[in-house]
Amino acid sequence: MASTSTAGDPIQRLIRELSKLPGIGQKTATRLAFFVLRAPAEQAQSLARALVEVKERIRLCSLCMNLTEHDPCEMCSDPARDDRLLCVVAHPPDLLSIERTSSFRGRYHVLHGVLSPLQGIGPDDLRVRELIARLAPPSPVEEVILATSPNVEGEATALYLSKAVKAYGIRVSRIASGLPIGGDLEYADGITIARALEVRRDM
Amino acid sequence: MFVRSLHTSDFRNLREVAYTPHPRVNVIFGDNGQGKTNLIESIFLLATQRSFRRSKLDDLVRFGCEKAEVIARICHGEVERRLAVQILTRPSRKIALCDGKSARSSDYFQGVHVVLFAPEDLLLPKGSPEERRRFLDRAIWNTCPSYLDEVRTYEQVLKSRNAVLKSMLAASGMRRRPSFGSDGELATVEHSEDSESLLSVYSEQLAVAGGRIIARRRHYLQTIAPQVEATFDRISRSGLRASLEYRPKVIGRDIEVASPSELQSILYEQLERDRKRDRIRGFTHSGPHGDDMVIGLDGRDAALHASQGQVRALVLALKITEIQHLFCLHGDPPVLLLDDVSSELDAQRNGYLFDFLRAMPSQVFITTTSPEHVKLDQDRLDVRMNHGGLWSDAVAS
Repeated sequence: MASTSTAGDPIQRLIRELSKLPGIGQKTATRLAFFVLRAPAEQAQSLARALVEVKERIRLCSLCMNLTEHDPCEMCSDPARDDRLLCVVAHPPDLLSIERTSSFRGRYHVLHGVLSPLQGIGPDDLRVRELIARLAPPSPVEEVILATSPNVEGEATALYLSKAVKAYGIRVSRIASGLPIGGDLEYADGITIARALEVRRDM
Repeated sequence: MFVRSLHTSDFRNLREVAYTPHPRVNVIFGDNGQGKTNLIESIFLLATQRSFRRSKLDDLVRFGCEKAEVIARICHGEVERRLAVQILTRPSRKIALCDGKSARSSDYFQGVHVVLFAPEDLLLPKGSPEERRRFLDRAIWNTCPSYLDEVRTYEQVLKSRNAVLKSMLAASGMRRRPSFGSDGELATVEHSEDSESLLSVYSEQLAVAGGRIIARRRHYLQTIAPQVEATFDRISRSGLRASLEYRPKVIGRDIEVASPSELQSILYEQLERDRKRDRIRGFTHSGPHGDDMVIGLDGRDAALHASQGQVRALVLALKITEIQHLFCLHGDPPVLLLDDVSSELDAQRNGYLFDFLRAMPSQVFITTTSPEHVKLDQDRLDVRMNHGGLWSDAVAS
């Protein structure tokens, strides 16, 4: 295939950079590059600024390890939140999911991953030490809620943390799993139904 | 369930086969190496999304082709569904479709039950424990599709625990070359508290997943054992008693009566006891991945004491029971795939098998080199397999 462009061509450079992004192939990258090219200059500058700022200004909160611009983050410094409840999640998007419900008003801790010996990810590769540091006395935390996903890796991580947390005499709970609200029993998969039956409750 | 029509393209040596089988007995005959077993395999693939031969995905695609496809119309009662499996190469992957849409496996497998009876099954009592586990797991999966998820979960946890053990082994090797003390044990290898508690986590998880599998296997064997005994008695007329028993590799306690939760704690205790040995070897010793089932004859292990003829009768009893059990459980006869079995059985056992097939309202696919040996006369359709193509004897298609 003959190419008229050189490696230094800004359009080619942009396409190459964009196609490094997850889920973006050569075709989409080309479409995005030409979209940016045709867009008003302010829009391109705003995109460029956002890209640079996200790297320069976002860091980890020294308390909860969530992504933040200010350290400590908004959630850690919010005096209205309950210090006694600590919810542990695997990834920042998990935290956002819980936060969207507005039904949890405690504090968070983000692990940035789950245990996966097959991929060589052990406790030292997660923010476990930081979590333990928050639980060492005198700690206001009275209950740790383990909100990792209900799959093999998430369960292993929860099991591991529950042992570590219990060593401090702090109550540990695990988020429930079962049927989705508003869903039909008819369409639920077998394992979910089996689990829902296992953890059924009295009425 | 029965297969109303089957279409394969570039599946092994079957270039293009359009096949409308009989709802009862189908005999596929032809010389060896023409593709008879491939046709059986294509039905098996549709029903289970895997091959019964231990081959790579790519091997299922006709040499030089990029894609193989098997499509069938399957009937359960009044309902007809169209199942399709596509195997793609470069990169190899498998796509399963139900009525043209990708379906969750629990939906895809709903009501699809196929039992294969192949010459290799006759080696079951004398073969490796792995083959017996495979037989057992497949039979259970046919009775309960979610068993597949339980097995997968167990396998994933097992791999994780082994990975932890391996990393501990590597770490101890780095810290200190393994040296053997006078008692033959690995001396003074300390592990960080971290990896020790990580190992406990996976022991606990493995015990939960493993206990479930042991409970399922044990329950299945306990359910079918009386019927296997009765069927064997009718086939062999020898007065000898056939038995089936689940034999866990290590657990010494009597597991016949333990509840599922007791099984989990028994397995956990065993894993804790094995800790040291597992760490030295770098893999998990105990658990259902090492268990076995013992096929017994008058209280003795058939693998060691049964004659060739007795082994065949035992396997025949086991297979017939598996089929009857499925029929009772689902109220719908499973599709039976018999790959050249009757050539391996003597006249008397063949007679028993054909009596059984006559009475069982299943759709049956039988491959053979000599169709005249298939002693079934009614509701039967014969097709000839020649160089990967199917020919009906009356009219060439």
